[in-house]
Amino acid sequence: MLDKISIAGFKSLLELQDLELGQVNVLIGANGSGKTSLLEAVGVLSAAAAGEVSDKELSARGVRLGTPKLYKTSLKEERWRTTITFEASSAEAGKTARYKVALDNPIKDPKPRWSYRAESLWRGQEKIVGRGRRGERFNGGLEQLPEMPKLRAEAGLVHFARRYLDLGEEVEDLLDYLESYAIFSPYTPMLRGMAPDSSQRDPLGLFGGRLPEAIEDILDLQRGQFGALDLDELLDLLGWVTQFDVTKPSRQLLSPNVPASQKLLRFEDIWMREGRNQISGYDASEGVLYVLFVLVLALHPRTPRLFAIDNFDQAMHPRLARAVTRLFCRLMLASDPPRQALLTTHNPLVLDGLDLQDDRIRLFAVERGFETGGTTKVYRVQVSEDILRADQNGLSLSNLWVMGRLGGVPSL
Amino acid sequence: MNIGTVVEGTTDELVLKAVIGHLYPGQHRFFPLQPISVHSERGNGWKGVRRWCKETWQRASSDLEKIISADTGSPLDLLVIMLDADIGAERDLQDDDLIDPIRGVQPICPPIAATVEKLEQVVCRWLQLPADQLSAEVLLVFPAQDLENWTFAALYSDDPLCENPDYECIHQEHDRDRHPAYRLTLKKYGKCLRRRGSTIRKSVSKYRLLIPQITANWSQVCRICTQAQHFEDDLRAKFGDVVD
Repeated sequence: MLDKISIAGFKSLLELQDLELGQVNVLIGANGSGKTSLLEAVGVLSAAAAGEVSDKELSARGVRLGTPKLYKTSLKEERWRTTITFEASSAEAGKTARYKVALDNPIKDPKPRWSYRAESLWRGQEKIVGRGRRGERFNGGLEQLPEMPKLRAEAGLVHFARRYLDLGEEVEDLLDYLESYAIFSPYTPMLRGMAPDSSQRDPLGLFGGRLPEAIEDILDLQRGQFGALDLDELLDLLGWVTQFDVTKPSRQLLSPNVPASQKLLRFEDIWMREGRNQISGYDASEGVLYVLFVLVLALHPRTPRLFAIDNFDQAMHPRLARAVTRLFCRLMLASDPPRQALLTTHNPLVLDGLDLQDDRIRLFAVERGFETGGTTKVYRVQVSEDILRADQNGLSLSNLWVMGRLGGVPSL
Repeated sequence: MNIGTVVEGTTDELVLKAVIGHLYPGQHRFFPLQPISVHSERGNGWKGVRRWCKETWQRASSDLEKIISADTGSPLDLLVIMLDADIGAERDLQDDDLIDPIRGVQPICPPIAATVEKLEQVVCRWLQLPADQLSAEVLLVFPAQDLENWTFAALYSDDPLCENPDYECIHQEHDRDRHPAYRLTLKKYGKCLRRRGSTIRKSVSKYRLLIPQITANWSQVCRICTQAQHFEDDLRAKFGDVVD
């Protein structure tokens, strides 16, 4: 699991040093403060670890495509930087691993792939793979390979070396997390199956495509289970749904003029008359679809080990968002193998669903303004136990955020 | 430094950040604090500041000490409560029976100091704290008559208006033509602010353009506006010499 990340020179993230992550990480901040940029920075880092930083690889991770002019920090009062630098590390059971990369692409006449200016991989204090101005360096005998090719500047050395070197469990683990990363930004037409998801991915498309298929994978009606979750608990959360399943599109459920994907979600409404109480994902409340989407990510065995959800609370009633947040955190903390999530939200009640006394759940305020000269700063939010437990007279996290005490608010 | 601000509006916030950043360069983190519950009152304006002050004691676990402390987030090194001195003319500075009504806190002006002294008492009553029990981190700031006196002094320090001994007492309602904020709406003074009827409108994006001049001419502002000097003196008392 990622323990720390550092980013320098990416969009408004001029210098973000050693941001210490938990297992569930929630980012709050004003619109335009840099929350999504932070998610995207991890996306670029992920592509770099996977061996290629190109539009194709970035797009597959949900990073908005841009030119070097847009990716490289260009703030009025800061000096121009030619490279973007990323670093991620993990630390588990006393074993540490670290991956660091510096990328470049010329502003004038950009190339389809970014170049690796420097790249290094560390196991504990030992640098096992490195590349820089002085060429490539390996520990472990890779240089002995007779077929060792001269790597292009656009190809990742670490990704290449991974095929041949025994990097050690902690390093493999870090790279697994990094390479798997994707940013999910669910979008109603894709969740409803009305529009194709341009970012298909297993088990779920980044915009919500293949939701019925992913649900089918983990829904066990006989055992009453939705992945590791008791189905009744999920139905209680949804409120108006007594049952749901995945079926083929039919004229009973969908107008023939509605475009439909191969599989369709079918819900049974608690209030409607028997025989006429089935509605499809096309007609269902969008809140239900968003809830199922985030829970699938927490529960599906093929969910990326590291992922982000932009606007986690989208389309949810504040109280539903709070309940879903609690449930999502619980499921994430119990996930096996462990998974790690980055979430963004603008809903104060999401914060009330976070148990910040658990160090694995972390809240960060993302800020950017006059006083920062336009650079994005990220601060971990920590609040005393007394305040959170102080009965009706206490200040909830949502209250503290709305008041402005946690930071991550616009000056409005 | 971590700095909490309780102010009437966004332009106050902007100027406050700029002046503190000018006097104490460095990485400061600002927490723009507002009341949680707005009821019928707007979150901004002096009534928003009053509501924020009242909320600190209305909740048992959110008194001023706790708000400043690490209990509720990163501990604050400074909490600035800023109000324009022209609220002294308001008739409903107190809105409940919990506090003795104070009406007409505008005593003889000039000097402005007497008005400000009264306003400090008013804010302390809002906070339900005796003035001598305000935490060392709390700073009360009263631009007189309003923030535009500082802005005008920064932009037009040579203007004869700035030499008036009653500069900080020119009230918009009583002497509109000499009021600095009104003047800043005139073409002669660059139309920095907009006027619609009797209302003067401030835009953050336009005000942002004035910030470099306000900070560059801050010493002139302090020369002309005693309350600006007072603010700087208070900061110096808390954090040592300012950087010139």
